[in-house]
Amino acid sequence: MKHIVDIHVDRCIGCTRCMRACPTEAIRIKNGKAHLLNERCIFCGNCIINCHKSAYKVSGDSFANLNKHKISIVILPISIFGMVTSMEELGGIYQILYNYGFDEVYDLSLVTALLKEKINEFLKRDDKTYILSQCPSVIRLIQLKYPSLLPNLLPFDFPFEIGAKLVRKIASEKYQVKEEDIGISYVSECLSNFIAIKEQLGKSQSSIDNVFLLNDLFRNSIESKDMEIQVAKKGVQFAKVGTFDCMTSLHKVISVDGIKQVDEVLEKVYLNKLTNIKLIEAYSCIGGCVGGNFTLENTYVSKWKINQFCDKIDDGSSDKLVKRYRGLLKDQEWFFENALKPQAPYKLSDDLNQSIIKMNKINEILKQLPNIDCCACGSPSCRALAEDVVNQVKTINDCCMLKKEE
Amino acid sequence: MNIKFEFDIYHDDYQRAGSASSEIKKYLAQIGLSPKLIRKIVISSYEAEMNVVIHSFGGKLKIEIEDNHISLTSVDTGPGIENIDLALTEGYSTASQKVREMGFGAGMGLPNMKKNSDTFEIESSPKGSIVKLSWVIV
Ligand code: SF4
Ligand code: SF4
Repeated sequence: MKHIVDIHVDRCIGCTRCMRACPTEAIRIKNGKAHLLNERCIFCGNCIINCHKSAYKVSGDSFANLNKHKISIVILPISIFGMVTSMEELGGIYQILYNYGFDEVYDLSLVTALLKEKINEFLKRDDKTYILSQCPSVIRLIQLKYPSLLPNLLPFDFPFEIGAKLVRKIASEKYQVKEEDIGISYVSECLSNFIAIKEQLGKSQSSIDNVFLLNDLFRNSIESKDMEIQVAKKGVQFAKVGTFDCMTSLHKVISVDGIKQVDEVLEKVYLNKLTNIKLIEAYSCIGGCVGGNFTLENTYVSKWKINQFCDKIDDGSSDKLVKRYRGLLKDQEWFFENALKPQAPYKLSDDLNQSIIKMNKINEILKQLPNIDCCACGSPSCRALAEDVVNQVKTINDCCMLKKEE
Repeated sequence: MNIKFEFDIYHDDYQRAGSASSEIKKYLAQIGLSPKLIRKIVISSYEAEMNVVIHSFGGKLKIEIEDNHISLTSVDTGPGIENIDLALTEGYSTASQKVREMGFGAGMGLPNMKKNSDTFEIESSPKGSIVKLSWVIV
């Protein structure tokens, strides 16, 4: 995995805030600067949000890339509806994107509306508890901590990937050009989606050519503009947690947001304690995608805006849109291309005996440490320091408390 | 090679209940056992842990790996199980209404442990209970 999140070493002061906020112990402070252990990172963005020095640097692609294709199309994330309360305001957003040089703008509501139908259909197959995650962070968490739950994951690809395939087809027909002449850009609301595209999670090649960050594109105020825009109302609610609660016919849905809460619910599934639940809808960010770390509006205000927006659009045109594009993609185009594999980034050694020897050493070292988890050593807990010592990335002298006693 | 872990479990501590099993899950993944085996062990240790929290005066959970063998032992200080055969019946529970309202004590503890382990032994007297489970690493 490449380094996608860079750290400005000149800004980082090694304060340990990011390390303590990381849910998977993926950060260490070495020589006073934060370092990321890529294989443990689940792209949740907590480190970025918690850094008070703006030391984390994520860069979207360059606008120069838009010249590589005959036609440039941009797809807006579903959380865009958390920024607008009317079609006119959405028109303002479209105008900004046209000004950047895009030929056409789409949003994901059509995809999520269709996806909802597909999921409902899929759930009828058997009695298993399924986990729906359009959130790559949740998927990574399952790969890392709950690999035996991978068969419970709904195999649908991320909405932005499905959207890119769909839009490419629609546009190649409309403009009468080959599919490869169309460049597709996505505006990402969070680190998680950004990295899932860059790392091709669940596929050999992403359908998206460029990714931009939402907070980079819409810094200036948005002016309302009248425009002919088609939105699929049924898909809009997908931007916030709890979409499937409305499927009251099921009554067997748990919607959970926030990575810590998600972890707890997954643990219950893992322990077979939720076998009477049909669907777990899980988002790493609080509030769902409207809570993404690159969004510009407050999560709760966003939720209100979505409802305002939905109140103003009629169901009829939305239904027509869904009907028109329902069969455009082949069945397999809705699913991940490659099965998601378990990951074991915490394994001490490939050999069982070696692991046990190391584990015993960790326990020995831990006895010497003060066990107060102060983090000043640059590891997220005393136990983590003991592990780092055994893995030879730190020494016991890194413990500040032991030094003090001397 | 062998390794041992021990956890204190307190009676009525519903706030921390399950945390020993969470830790066991983490350690077993570090040691590198297969996800399938880990899940069986963790489901069993969770049930054992809950039994101590709900039904006993407190106790300990011990896990040991030696060669290709894993054992999990829960030892508590009483008051013991009155009728072991009944306790092994799915759905039989002596948990109070209050405990059940919290979503625990569904009467699946011992049956689940038995189902998920390779060997299962239980001893009980008014002084306490000992449950021993084991697995072979294949
Ligand atoms: S939060 Fe992390 S990256 Fe930011 S200054 Fe502190 S140690 Fe450095
Ligand atoms: S993105 Fe999340 S998992 Fe990755 S390093 Fe930051 S806090 Fe940790």
